[in-house]
Amino acid sequence: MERDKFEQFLRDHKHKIYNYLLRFVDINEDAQDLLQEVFIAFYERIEEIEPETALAYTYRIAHNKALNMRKAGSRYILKPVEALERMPSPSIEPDHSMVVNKAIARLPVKLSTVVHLFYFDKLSYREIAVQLKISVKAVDSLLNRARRKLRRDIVISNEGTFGLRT
Amino acid sequence: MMDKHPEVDMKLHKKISNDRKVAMIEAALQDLPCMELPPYVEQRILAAVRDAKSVKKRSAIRPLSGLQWASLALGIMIGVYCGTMFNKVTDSAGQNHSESVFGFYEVSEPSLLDLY
Repeated sequence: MERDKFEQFLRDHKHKIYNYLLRFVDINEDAQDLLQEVFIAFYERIEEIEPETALAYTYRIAHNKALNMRKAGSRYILKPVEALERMPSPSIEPDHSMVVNKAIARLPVKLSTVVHLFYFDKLSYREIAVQLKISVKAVDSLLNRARRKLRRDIVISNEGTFGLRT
Repeated sequence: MMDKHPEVDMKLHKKISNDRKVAMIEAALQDLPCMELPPYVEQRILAAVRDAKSVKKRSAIRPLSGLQWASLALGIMIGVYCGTMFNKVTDSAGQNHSESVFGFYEVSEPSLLDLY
């Protein structure tokens, strides 16, 4: 990919990568720091990256950086008021998306990338196949594997509350 | 009915629960929320990339000059070696015998020089 295409790529995909990183970390500032590291790492290898697979490549970088940060721990400490703001309000339904996000973060990198590309980026099977350089059938297989793993990890009570299997 | 075929009813109940679970998870996946990235983060990334670019340019110069120094050193060594070899060749040519119509003489012999 040419260097002068970098800014456009950043503008087009920064939200997707940011939201992907938010599945792994609890603090927005951590995700923002990681986003910066991801795009710097991307820029350093930009000439080796093919434009068709650039998005999937970025997700892989993001996945690895997020896992490293999880091991190292956050650089920020949440203030009590921020912690309160993040708690789901009792007046609305339980936040299923939080549990689903955490379950997605537990998936291996290829499965979580496919899930994100399909459900969040709304790419078609064919577009995902081009990104990952695999066949459409392989995309279908990966998505089914991801769904099976998510069904195993997510526990739903009779009342409809989502939980994560430990 | 339920008492006659309890196993079938249990399996059906489990299937419905699994189906419901599948549908709920699928619905949650389709409805993943999108967080907005603050605008200053993009500027921060572009500034960091510009810094990374200039650091890369500066570090690219050092290996080049190292290569240049190595080439220069090699060139000097080759030059000294060639010079030494050339000197040896010319010295030994100077010491070699000279020819005359009378034959082949060792010029360095003092008696011969005295004669001429």
